[in-house]
Amino acid sequence: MANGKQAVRKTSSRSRGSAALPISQSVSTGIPGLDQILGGGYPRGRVTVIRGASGTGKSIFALLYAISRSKADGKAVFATFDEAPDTLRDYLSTWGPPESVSLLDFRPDPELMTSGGQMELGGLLVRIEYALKKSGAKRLVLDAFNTLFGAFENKAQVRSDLFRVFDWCRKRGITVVATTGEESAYRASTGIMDYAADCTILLDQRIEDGLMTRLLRVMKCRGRAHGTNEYPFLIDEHGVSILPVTNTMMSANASKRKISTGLDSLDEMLGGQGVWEGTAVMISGQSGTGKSLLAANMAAAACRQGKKVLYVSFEESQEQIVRDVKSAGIRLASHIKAGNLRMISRRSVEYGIEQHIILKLRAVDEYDPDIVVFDPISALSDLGDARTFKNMAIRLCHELKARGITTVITELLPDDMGNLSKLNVSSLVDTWIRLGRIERGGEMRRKIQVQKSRGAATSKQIRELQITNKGLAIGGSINAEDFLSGRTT
Amino acid sequence: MTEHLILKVYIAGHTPAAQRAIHNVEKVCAEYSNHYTYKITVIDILKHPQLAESEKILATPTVVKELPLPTRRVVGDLSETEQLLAGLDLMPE
Repeated sequence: MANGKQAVRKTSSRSRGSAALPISQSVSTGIPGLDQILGGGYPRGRVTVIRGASGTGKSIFALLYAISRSKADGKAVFATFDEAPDTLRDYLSTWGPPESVSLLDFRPDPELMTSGGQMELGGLLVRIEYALKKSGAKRLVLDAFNTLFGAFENKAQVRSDLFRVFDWCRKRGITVVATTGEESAYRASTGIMDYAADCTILLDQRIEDGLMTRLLRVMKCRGRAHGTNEYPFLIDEHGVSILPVTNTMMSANASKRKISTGLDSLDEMLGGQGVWEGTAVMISGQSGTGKSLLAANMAAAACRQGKKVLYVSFEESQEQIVRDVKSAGIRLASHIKAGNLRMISRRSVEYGIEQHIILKLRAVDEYDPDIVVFDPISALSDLGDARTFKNMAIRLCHELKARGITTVITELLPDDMGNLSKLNVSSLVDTWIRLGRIERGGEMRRKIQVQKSRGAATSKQIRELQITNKGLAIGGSINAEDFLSGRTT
Repeated sequence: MTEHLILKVYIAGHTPAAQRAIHNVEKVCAEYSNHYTYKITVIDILKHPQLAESEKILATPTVVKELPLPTRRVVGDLSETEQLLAGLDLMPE
């Protein structure tokens, strides 16, 4: 989803008046998720300050904004106070033609001598104005302007010179994005810059259990209803990926069609014909109860119904899964070959929980499947506390639901949990299929029941799930006596 | 043999600080340039922004010593003579 090059334009403007523009107009940030969080993009003709300690990704935001092609606003002028222009050109070239951005080198000269006071940053506005006029740009970046406060003693003068640039830009409808570090020595001087900003965004990074999570928060955006949460984001070769958390939730349309699980008896237990399309299905059970097989069976059945399926495994490789389920009569290889089944294997410990969500959703948006399987989602539960894990699962399901995608997740229940779900999912999933074991008389049998299924007349029966080399089958109902004897009828 | 001393003073408008800087540069040249012939050019970057860009002028006033090499720069109203001479590498032996 979040491809830095796909700029979404919400508004356009031809206004050139001297008065500042109404704040409702936006210029794309070059990051689709951030456009959404800000309610369109950076406020047009205003000043947005992006704050964050070193390494939080400020310059990437600045670069993506500068390189995002904008017909109405033309190219951008990028004033650097820290990074060398050559380095910036290298970065830019990974996203687009670097010559579409005019670079201004404002790096302070460390050997510059001073004699007497009364100095001002006279070259700042003059050169910015010159570059904007020469290139016809309506967008300006000031990257790491806080270095000025370190290089020049008279902080009040630096502040007033920066304010002068901001005011000049506002009067001419130039949309400014200015980034600043958070070094404690400068905070007193640069912190006050927040007052001069119409919009302030804070970038942060946290390390928990050795995994780093990047977070973004919109601290203020004058005259705007913006997202107020902390939004996790990811930086990689695609640029910045951000997930707006909540605003897609309610847009899902109630489904009118059902999709078969591939097992007639299970479809009947679910009220007939299977599960509603675009809903979330959870299969929970202890080890060896057949969760993955049932999920794979649903995947294969969906492929046979002409659907595209994305199968995400957190434990096993594609080859392993294909081989394992084949021994139970479920064939996936032909669907993979035909292109309507794609499998992704990622060990849970490879990323933090947020990275997992973002990467999985990106894979979803690239492949555009009808059904997504996560097997087992519980593999991610070690990456955070119970609440983080549950929140992650909820967000994942909501994001997929908003896209109209049917989600199948499996949850591995530890043997010592008495078959209780860690996810405690009634709010999370629409359909909950519980699998279990009965061990009596030297025999192990599997049971299956539909714990709930929203909007369907579900069966209350507990039945046997049979795994044969010709495929899965649902056996007869198990009554209380059979529980004790271990027999099924 | 005399050497050439070429100085350029970059100002952003004729502010009081700019006037002082020009005056201070002239004074220093008159006093300390015994074996140089000197030339001072004042450049107002408000009128010549392209020169501000090509010379990468950020702070004003800035005096740039173009000759003799190496190039040296000093910023401020140039009222502290010692710093100005040291900065321009014009300290008398």
